[in-house]
Amino acid sequence: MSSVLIAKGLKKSFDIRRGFTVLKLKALRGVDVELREKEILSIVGESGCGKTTLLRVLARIHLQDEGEIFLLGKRVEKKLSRKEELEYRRNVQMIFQDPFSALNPTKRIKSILERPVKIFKLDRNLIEKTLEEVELPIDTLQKFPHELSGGQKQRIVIARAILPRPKVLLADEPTSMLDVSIKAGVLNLLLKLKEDHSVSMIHVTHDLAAAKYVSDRICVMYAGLIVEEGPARSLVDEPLHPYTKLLKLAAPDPKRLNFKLNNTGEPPSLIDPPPGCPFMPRCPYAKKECAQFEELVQLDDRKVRCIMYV
Amino acid sequence: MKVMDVLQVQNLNAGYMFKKKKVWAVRNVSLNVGKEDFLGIAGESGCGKTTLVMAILRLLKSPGFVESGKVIFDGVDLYQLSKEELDRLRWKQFSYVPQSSMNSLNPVLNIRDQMMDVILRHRSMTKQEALQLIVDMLQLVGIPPERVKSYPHQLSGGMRQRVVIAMSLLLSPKLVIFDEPTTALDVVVQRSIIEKIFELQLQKRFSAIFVTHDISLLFEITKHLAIMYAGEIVEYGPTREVYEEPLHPYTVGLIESLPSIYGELKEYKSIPGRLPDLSQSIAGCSFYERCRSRMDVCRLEHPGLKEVKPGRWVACHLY
Repeated sequence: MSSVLIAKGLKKSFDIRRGFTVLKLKALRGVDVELREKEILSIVGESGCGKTTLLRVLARIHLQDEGEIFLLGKRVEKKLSRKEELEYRRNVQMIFQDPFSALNPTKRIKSILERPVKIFKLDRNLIEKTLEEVELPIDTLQKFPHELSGGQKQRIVIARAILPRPKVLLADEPTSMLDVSIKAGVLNLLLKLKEDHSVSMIHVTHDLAAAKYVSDRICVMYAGLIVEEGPARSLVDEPLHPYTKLLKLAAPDPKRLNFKLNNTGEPPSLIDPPPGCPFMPRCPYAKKECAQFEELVQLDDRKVRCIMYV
Repeated sequence: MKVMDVLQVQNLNAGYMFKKKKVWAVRNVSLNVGKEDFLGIAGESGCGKTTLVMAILRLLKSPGFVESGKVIFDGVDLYQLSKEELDRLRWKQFSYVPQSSMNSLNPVLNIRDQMMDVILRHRSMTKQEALQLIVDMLQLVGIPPERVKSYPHQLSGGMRQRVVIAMSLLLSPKLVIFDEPTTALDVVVQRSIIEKIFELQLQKRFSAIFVTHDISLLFEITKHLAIMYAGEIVEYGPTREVYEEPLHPYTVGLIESLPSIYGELKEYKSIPGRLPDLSQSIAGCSFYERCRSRMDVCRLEHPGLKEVKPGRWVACHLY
């Protein structure tokens, strides 16, 4: 299977000013991602692990400090001409986390969906067809965003993203602002779009169960690094990295009663993080050697950043 | 039975004024919370959960209003009390843990001073005794004593939420109401907060109400479960029974829409549609538009909450 989008060694840090000292917050510390054709790859992690930063770097909202991005086998330079930038965005579209603020409240849905048509010079009939694909009635076009429910708004955001028929969709927690009762509908829509448009998708989420349901492969991120990567089913059913195990145990499960996880600490600060395994301070299996251990171990079709699997 | 109840809500109607129209967010809600009971209230956003809680605590401010109904706490109707009498009950007899701990702590006071404030207002204690109580309470929720002088911004989201929980328990109230205490938190932190609440409830023996949109959290810790839809309680019963055999089609849908991390992948379904307009009066069942098993009678006649099996209440014409 060929790859659609490849990122190698992505690093990104943000400046934080404390008085006259400038600290570097290292949001991405060398991340490799490979998105294959017609695949949904989920990036799972807690807030502050760098998953949104990764997505924004891939969407070119932020530019990486170090590392390279390849789209359809072609290297994407950090500096692009306007035409190349437009071409990149036509191929890589983003679905935002919060549909309530991603739509301009003063515009009708019609003009919101006409924007990509104008910018990318698309066929106007595509609007109605796309609206049908996201399972909304045609009269939605005449409405304003506030007249729609959260789930309907998110469908409009998705419709806007698939209008230019991109090769890659970047979905930033597309269901986290939605109610449980409509979450499943949006996830099923993403699965349908993958089939119908053979689009590849990077889906960022903190919900391991949703990731298992929707994706082909999963990457688990922690403190700006990928700590585990593998096929969705086997990763969730048999997690290898202690952090993935913790994430799985923390998910609520009504079938399991009287289970205790206790206090398990919190993620480290990303300002001047120490070398070695970032999960070490919270890890029940931590050893002295972990303080130096940084490599990603390959095990068949899975990768894990943990000394136990050397 | 009646004497045992810590909280009784009778036919509460509340809502908001919006463009001179009344929007009914809480419609004819009755419920009771027994001694050491743990009631979970679940429903999607906009179903009136928070309005219900605010109305119970008499915290609903304009444009919100309470039209009718009684809230009887420990034998006293809260809406008959004067402001001073009510103030005396707050913190001491019942307390409230709001949704966003970021906004509920005072950013310019350290946590010791904020907690001290609560104690000194309600109890005659020396500062020394109060400080001991604060340290003990913080330790109980898992915050080391050396953090008492921290300001809210120096704590992480999970720790702030723990501080608010510690604060709500300072004066050993009879009833604690948690309004989505974990919504803004990560899964792992959420898990530890939920466990903490559960553990404290067993230890301190207070009654609790836990309001959330994420029904999966409630199955593990609550004793009773109430499902709210469009301002009404549509189902009520012991938690395990509701989970194993949900009666109302809305509850069935909610449970089906939960993804499971264990076992086989099954397709999980959503409930299409949205909440009805709460500014209109609803003649039939409020869930009619979205219901899979609707009948003709559902459109015409409003289903009342009935006890269909011992302890199981449901508002649906199917039963």
